[in-house]
Amino acid sequence: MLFTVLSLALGSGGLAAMPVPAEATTVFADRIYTAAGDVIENGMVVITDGKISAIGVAPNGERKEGELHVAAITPGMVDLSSRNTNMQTVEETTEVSAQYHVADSLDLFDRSWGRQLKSGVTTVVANPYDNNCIGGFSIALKTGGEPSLEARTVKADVALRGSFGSQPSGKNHPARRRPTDFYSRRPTTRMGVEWVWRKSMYDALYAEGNKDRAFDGVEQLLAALNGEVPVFAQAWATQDIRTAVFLKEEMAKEGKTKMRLIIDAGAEAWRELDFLTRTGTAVVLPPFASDGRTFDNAFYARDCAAKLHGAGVPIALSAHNDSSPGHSLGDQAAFARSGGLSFDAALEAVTISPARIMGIDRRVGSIEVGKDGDLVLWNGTPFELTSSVVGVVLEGELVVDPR
Amino acid sequence: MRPQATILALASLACVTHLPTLGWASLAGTTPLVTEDEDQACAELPTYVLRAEKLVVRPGKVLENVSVLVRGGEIVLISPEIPLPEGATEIKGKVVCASFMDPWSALGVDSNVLNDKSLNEEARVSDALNLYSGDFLRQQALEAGVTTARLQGGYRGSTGGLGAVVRLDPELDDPSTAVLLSDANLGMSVGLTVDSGARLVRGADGSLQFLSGDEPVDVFDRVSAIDKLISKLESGAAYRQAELEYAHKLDEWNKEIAEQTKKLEGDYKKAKKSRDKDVKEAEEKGKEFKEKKYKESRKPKQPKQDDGKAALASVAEGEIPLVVEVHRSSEIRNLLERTKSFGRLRLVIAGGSEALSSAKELAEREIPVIVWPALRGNSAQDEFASDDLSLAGVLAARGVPILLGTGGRGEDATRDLPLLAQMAIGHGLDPEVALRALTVDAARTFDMAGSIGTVELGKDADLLVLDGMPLMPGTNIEHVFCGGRLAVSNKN
Amino acid sequence: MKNQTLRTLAQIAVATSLATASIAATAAQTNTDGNVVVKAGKVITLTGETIENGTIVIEGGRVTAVGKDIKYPWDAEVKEFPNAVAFPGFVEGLSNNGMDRANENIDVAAFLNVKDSIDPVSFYFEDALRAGITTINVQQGKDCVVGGRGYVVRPHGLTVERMTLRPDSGIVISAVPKRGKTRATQALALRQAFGGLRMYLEELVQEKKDGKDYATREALYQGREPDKDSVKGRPMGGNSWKVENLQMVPRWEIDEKQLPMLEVVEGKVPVYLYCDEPADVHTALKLANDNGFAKRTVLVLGPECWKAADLIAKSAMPVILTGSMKWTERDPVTGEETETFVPGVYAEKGIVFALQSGNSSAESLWYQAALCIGQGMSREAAMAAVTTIPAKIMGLEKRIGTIAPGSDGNVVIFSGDPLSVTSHVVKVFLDGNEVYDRATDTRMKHLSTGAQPANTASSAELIEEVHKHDDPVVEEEEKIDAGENKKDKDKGEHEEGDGHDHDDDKDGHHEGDGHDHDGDKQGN
Repeated sequence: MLFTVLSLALGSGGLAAMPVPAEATTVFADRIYTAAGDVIENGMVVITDGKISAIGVAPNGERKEGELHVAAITPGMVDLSSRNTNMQTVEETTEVSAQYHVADSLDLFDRSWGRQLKSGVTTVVANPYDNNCIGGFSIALKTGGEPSLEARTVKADVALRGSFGSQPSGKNHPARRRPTDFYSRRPTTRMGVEWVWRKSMYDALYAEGNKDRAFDGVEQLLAALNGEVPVFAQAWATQDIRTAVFLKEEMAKEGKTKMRLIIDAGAEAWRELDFLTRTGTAVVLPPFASDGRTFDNAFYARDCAAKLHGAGVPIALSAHNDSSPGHSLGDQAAFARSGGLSFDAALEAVTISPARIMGIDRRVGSIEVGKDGDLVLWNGTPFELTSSVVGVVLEGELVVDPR
Repeated sequence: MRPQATILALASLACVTHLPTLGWASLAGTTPLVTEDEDQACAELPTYVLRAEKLVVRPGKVLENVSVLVRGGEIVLISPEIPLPEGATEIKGKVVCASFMDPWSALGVDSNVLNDKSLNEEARVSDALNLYSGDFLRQQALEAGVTTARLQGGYRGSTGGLGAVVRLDPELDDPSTAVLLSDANLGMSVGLTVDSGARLVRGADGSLQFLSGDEPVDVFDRVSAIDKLISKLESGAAYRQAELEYAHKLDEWNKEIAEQTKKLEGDYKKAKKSRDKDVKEAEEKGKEFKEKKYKESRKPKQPKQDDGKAALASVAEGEIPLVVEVHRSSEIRNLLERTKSFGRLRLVIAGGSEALSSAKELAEREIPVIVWPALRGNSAQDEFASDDLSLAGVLAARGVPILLGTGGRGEDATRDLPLLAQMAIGHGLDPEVALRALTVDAARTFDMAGSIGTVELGKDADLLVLDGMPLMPGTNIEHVFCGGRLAVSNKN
Repeated sequence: MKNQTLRTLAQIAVATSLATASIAATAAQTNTDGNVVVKAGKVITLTGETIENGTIVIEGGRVTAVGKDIKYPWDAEVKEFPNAVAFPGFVEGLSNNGMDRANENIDVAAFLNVKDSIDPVSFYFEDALRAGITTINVQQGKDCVVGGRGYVVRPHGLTVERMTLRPDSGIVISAVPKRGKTRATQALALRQAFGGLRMYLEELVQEKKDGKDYATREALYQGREPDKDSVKGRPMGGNSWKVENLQMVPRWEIDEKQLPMLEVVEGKVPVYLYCDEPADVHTALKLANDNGFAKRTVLVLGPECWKAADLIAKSAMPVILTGSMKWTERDPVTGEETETFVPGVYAEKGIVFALQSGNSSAESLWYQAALCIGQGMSREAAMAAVTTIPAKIMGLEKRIGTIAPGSDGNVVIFSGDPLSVTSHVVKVFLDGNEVYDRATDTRMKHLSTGAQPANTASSAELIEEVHKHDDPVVEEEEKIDAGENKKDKDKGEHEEGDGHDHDDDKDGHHEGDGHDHDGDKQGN
């Protein structure tokens, strides 16, 4: 039973009180942060058949027994770098495994999904583990609901994942005297990693016109070069971010001007903003590091998110599979605020901005009529350490009950 | 021998007098021995009346149509007719018997301590109990009818330290309530294989080799193991001896000194006069005055306190039993031979896979063997040829006192004890002997016979209510009482 | 000429007076005698109401008055923070940081003292000031049987003496097995430590007695009066086991390694008892009760100890909570995960508890208190657990933890609510002296913005210098091809990492948040 959509005027006043619908999930809150540009005081959200059907001001009067009322509601959070995949999700027999889909090796019964869901992350992008230069296709999916890919997928093949820097070469070593194991192979340095990327891209370019030069994964690489899927590459340090950006510009010179680039874990992205702004690259940021030290010697300044946002770079925050108090995605937004990011930008950085970056914002990322009914219920002002997630609604189902 | 408490608690007397008319109870007509307050407190303790068609007091003594009154954790009355007191729960059952004890268990021992190869004799497993986790294992043990166990640490090393008897109640988190006897025995082992962990090593030629980790102990090490054990016992005995000698010598010295002091006191005046004279003389002559040199016999030196040796001493003196895990027949023979000289030693053999060859001597010396009737497949024990399910039956038939245990290595083995006992029965063990092994014999061997093991007045209420004779196929356990608490109830 | 000289003299005179005046002015600004008046938009005293636009008067290092519109000397140095919050400063109830190493290898090392190990210039103390912590109880760690004595210090000062607030603030005992020991051998070692003390003292007394008796007999034999008794000892105090006639032994004759243990049994020194597992709590309580220091014991608990909370409540001992505040356990049979909010359990049972900073500098006391509030604890309880309660546990509640007349002049100026993630510490006053100023904190600037300190190898100015000598701009294609071969413009900016490859925790290798605990420890 769908309810009629009531008008939603921006700003205060002008919001007509609505009757409470009988058959749907309804949540009341002192403040609703929609991430669509407005904050509603004393509001309510109605979800019918898993989609948001109405948002508005709650009817006046005493709250009834058993009604769901919390201090604040935000959209379900989106983590683009969930990192709850493991060795099983990367096919290390070759450094370039573009043809593999991480969705084929996900274990939906793993407890990490439930933990992320409890911390307020309703949508994640699961990526192949970053031991390969080009790992394969990532998938955007919900962290809860029926444990099947059909039920949980938000968007399959959402990005082509890869990595720059030292992780893809981390396990490889040069052959000493005799090759003693499978990992006696290249690349063993970051320049080797860059070469592997370059070579695959050029091989794909050559194969485009020439069927004889086709190889496994060529279609996927071409899809990335032609901009059909974004390239989602891990690059912690400045030099690796530059490498990624230069490759994109090089491909643009070769005629592939539609290629899209998203940097994951761009800890040093704050150093050279112009590379990112001139190429329209989006950046996903890693979790807060108290002494600034992160992987690959990258220094993660605390105002990185604020700086990037100020320069107009689309940003998203990520929690790297840590849902414990003080480390979950909501807390990452809090720490970004402590580095100078405004409250509104912090809210967007964990909701609508990652959704937009990955092209899944038609379904998730904000509280708007027609989008999935994914809500996070808070016991105080969100993105403060003194508040925490007390409830989660996933597609209309109350999976974590604050009462 | 350790004194075994068999005194009826005053409270239980009070509980008895709380009842109205009694049947054949010999206490009929006695004047009340307790105050009204105690009476009242008694009435509030959880009370049960078990009505049994058959009461197995102990294997071999079965009473028909008897009731048992359980109150405050104790068996307070056994009588053909017991009226149901107010607030008490009545439980009817076909058979009531004492619950089982696992005399060779690891349930609740901290895993670091269980695997510690370097424990010393005075280390206590009661310091290393893990009562906050593994509750589901204890519950499963209770459901199988096992309510107490003797625990031991360090089974991988030559010494396991002091073992403890523990009640397996998952509700007990406090060691001081769960431990029934904190120094029940000293544990040692001889000739076990050593597990050094499975691993890959590179051989001299550069090839990779896989080592399973189970390395049999060198023959010469095995021989010396018994030597070490015996010399430890001897050092313990020597320590006790030294203590006694010291006490004796000190006594004598004290007497001697007392006499000497008396004498000196008597001679004091004379000595003073003589000294004064000498002092004056020296002054006049201008010479330096030297005091007379005083000599007396030295005080005897106290032997250095050593808790480990003290533990060994109490073993050598028979105060606590010594449990030795040993399997090979040659080692058992050697052990029996070498321990002959310790007249008071209470030896218990654990494992005894090849004990048959020494059955005569074991029977003569009444040395119990704790048999672990397990289905072996573990490579570490495969070298023991005759450890099969019929071992218990065969030894028992030759008159060797046997107990049944679960090996003291894995925590989850204790719940299988009754099952293993049934398998042993199926392979020739007399059912009555098996039941004795699980109840009264285990309790007696470890000095717990005053509290558990049989259904008798004044003992702890560790009871099973079954729908058939215990350890018989097809019998189900309906209720389990653990320390007087109805811990398992499978039937309303 | 004379006029010239006179004029010059006059000029000199004016110059001198000006100079003197300016010196005087500067002297007033850098005064470090502990006198200051602090005015702030909000003053949190933790003794009651928060004062709006309040004033704190500190004289001689102590707070003499706090309130609204109070009088202060006309020539006092006034520091105004109209939009900021003044706060008494957080109190760290127990810390193992700031020392060379937390423990020695020796099992029973009661004779050690942290004053020999505290490093006043350790980053830890700097970071403490940045996080608004003004008092720290530095104690040895738990890798021991009996450890040494600790100190309560301020996180500022060039020498340990100048940092000291209270020396010999407690001794450390550990029920947690030391490395190389198991629970059985640790419990044994603990008993033997005290048993050893008793034997040692009894031996000493016996020696004295024997010596005295011998002397008496010798005197009798020699016919003279026995020497006068020169008993200079004290009888054994405390209310547990006693060694009779200990007064026969002068205290200085007792081995210095055993003397601290004796003081523990006599109940003279606070004891910090480490427990990691609930079973350790039983060992700890038994030890404390058997050896007379139960009333002076503070339990330092790991997260799992909440399971023994009833026992702890009965003992009425205060506790310091360490480690993670959420305990996750997986039921070995059903596979279900249960989460317990650990401080909540203690709060519910009425146990007095203090919180401890986590391991990284961000997981400081404000962070712990804020997270507790997020998990449902009241603000008052959470705030007390990081201020007034640890102060009381240390016995210093009259001096630290609050801003009240008589307390130490410790004031931390926060840019906002001390527990908000967006607030930061602006200034810190210790004993009325300004010891931290965020504006001049180069390390904080570096952490916040990546800015390099001026005149260092990677500073912006020097990079400019380097680029002055770059090759002339080339064609775009070539430039991009040579992208990876560009001059070492990047080199300088990557050196500050000094080669720490944090593979383990930072590159996404971890598969969980590390809080997976099976209910059954055997790993079944």
